[in-house]
Amino acid sequence: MTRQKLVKTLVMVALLLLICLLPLIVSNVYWRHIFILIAIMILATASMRAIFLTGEVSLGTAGFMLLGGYSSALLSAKLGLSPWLTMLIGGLFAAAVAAAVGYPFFRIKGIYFVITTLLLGFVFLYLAGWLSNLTGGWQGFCFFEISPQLTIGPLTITFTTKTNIEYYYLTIIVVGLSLFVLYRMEHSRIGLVWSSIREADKLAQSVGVNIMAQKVFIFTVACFFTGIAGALYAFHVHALSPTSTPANIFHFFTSVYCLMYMVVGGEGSFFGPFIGTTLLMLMSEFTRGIQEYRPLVYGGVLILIVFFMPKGLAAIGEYFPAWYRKLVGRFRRKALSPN
Amino acid sequence: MLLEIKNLWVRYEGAEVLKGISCEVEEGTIVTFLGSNGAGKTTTLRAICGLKAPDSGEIWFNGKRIDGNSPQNIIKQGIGHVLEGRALFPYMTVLENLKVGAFLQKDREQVARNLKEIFVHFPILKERQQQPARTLSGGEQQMLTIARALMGSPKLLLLDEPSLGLSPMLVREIGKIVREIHQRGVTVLLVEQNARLALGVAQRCYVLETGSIALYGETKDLLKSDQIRKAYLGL
Amino acid sequence: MGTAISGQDIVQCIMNGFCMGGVYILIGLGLTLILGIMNILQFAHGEVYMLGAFTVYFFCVMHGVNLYAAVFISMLTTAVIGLIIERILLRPLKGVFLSYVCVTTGLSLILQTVVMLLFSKGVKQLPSLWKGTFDVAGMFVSKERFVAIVIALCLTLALYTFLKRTKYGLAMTASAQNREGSLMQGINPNVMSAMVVAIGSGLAAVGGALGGSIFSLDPYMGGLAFMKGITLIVIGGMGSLPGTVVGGLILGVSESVLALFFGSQMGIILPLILVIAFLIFRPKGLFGHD
Repeated sequence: MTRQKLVKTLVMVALLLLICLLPLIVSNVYWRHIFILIAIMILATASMRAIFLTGEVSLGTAGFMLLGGYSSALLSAKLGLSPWLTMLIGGLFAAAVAAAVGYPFFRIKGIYFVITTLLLGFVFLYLAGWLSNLTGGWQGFCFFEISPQLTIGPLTITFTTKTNIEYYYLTIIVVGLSLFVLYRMEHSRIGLVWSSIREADKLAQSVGVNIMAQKVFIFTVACFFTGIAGALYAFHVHALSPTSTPANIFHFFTSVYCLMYMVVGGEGSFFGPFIGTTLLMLMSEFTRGIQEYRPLVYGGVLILIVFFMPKGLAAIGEYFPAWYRKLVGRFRRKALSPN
Repeated sequence: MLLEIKNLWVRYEGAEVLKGISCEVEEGTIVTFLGSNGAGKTTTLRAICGLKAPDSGEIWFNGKRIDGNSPQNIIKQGIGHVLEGRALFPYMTVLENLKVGAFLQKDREQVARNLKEIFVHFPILKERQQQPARTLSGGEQQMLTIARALMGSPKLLLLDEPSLGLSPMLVREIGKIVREIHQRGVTVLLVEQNARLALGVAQRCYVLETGSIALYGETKDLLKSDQIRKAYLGL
Repeated sequence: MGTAISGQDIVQCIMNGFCMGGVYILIGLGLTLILGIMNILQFAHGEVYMLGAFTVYFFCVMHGVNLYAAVFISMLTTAVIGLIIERILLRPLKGVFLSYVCVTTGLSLILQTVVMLLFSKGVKQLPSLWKGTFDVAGMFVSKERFVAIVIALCLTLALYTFLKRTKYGLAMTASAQNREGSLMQGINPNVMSAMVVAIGSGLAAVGGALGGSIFSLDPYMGGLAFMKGITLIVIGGMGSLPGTVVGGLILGVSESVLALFFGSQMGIILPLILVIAFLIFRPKGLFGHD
């Protein structure tokens, strides 16, 4: 094993340990809640990135989270089904809708596809408010906590959100598994096909790749995971609402935030969403005092990253030599000029 | 020498399309670039007018070096380019297309004179001047593209495969038009696959093959050799 | 809905519809021009609209300048801001898709917050364009809305004249229809981009002023404005001037009528569904090309 690989593996193991021990190290319930949210958003961002791998930008993340969240919550609350089951159904429901709209949507070119997904999110939001008999209408709906339970032999674990510890682990496991699946897909033959579509779709088509089918496929898979993220959120917060305020996670701002997390972290790297989401969400927590300035900072960061670090933070190692060269080059030129 | 190309290399995504070609176009002549598809003819024209920056080599026009410059600056020097595929403004009328052709002309009277002359030489355009360009037939569109380029009073006219998709009768028309343009003092660089048309009008000829110049010389000399005629010119 | 709808209601509704249509057209014109010529969707265009409204507020309400003069100043100032945005933020991006989605989105967040910080949060009002009503055949027509319609119409005609009869206007139309063809006529694409963003921003500013005068202003009004702009250019056809006008009128009037008969929620959601339907089945819109 090369030295570089050894270092990388050690870093990964250390991080993994940190993630596993986090709720035990941090005793504050609120902070554990934040970590849970971060994990959920990492999944949402990673899903958005998966769609981006085929070259499309989808801003419908918030909408599909809504689908997953509402469907799983409603099924559990009204029909008493186990959350394990309903989370899965939530994901599948989101995936089904994605498959249904996938074919017509992907026929739409580039930027219009982005708008369409954005508008779709809006439509879901309004439907949630409109179908008040089903969803509790514009007030949204709360339900008593329905905690998933796991029975292993004589041991029953209830993933409550009282101390957030159990729910944290639940979230980590679900998110971890989902990310693992996404990672394997990206690094398999299918991943190569997606790259080929992103880079040179006409070329890919000429070697027999069915572009539409692939795009719809990844869209469906990504929305499945987005729906699961929404379901995780629903069972954690047990209150959902379709109001159009920026604070609502199902509002389209969330989709924009995911885009930001993805770009800041680096859309080229699988770990980009981790870095971007964690960093920005922690940053927003630490800047609660200057909450009003937050969009300003976010907007500024987004623009600065695009201009100065287009590959995102994940590729930060690449920038240093370039900046160093620029800096040294400028000094060298200054030294040469008085000839 | 109006146009000089020295050792031009152009690469597209790592693939070498032009491999160090050199050629010259003397003022007041018609020069043609022949070659089959993919030989690099269109790439040469695109490099000349700035649509593709060359990887290395030099392009000189009228004593000034133009390679690497932006298209609008190069066109300003007095070059007109009739693009492959015509590149008309489909929803603008014939007249509007012509007016845009005169974009760089500051002298209004010159523009009016150019327009009048064009209508004399291309009466069909005068007839259809209020029609959207996309409603014209293939041959008429080709004439419009050439006329549009002429509105700019260019010193050098680059023509990219004007005969493409046209009937033999129209191809002869194109030949006539090229000769007329030449008579008015415009230097012409004609890129063609149709050797018969090209050699019927050009004084000098370059044959391109996969990015290099396989053959060049005065047309009359090239036509004398049977071997050259058959092997390279297909005549 | 309970209460009967009178003729007066209908007249008011249609006036409203045309008036809102006018405002939407002013937003949509900029959006569609920028889209046609630069091939990008300016996500911060709604914020430019909002900026125009607040500039009028600044001059008129805070410094006592005459309303119409303030609108004119705002149009020019916002056009200049548009030039700056194009030069500094958009031109360096070289058309990379994800980059400009991020940059324009970031810009919209920045503009919202900056205006909110400079002007404080509450909802504000601009003075009326023209107080009172006309008496037309026994029904009352709002003078204010009438003026708004006239202003929108005049600006649209001015734009049309510019595009059809001036050298640069023709050049802009040409750039939108065939980029390489326009380059080969010596047209400078950077100049075209700068002009189109400036013009589009100026128009949006007037739209903002009208909207702010007839309704109200707040730093977050840009988001909705942007959505309306998108709706209208999709329906009317991207890159098409007559399409934008028709689309704007359709949107404005249908919203108004639907709101009258079915309540305001319908007025919001139906256009959304319409947009999605258009994008799927008729992406060219009513008049669009490409």
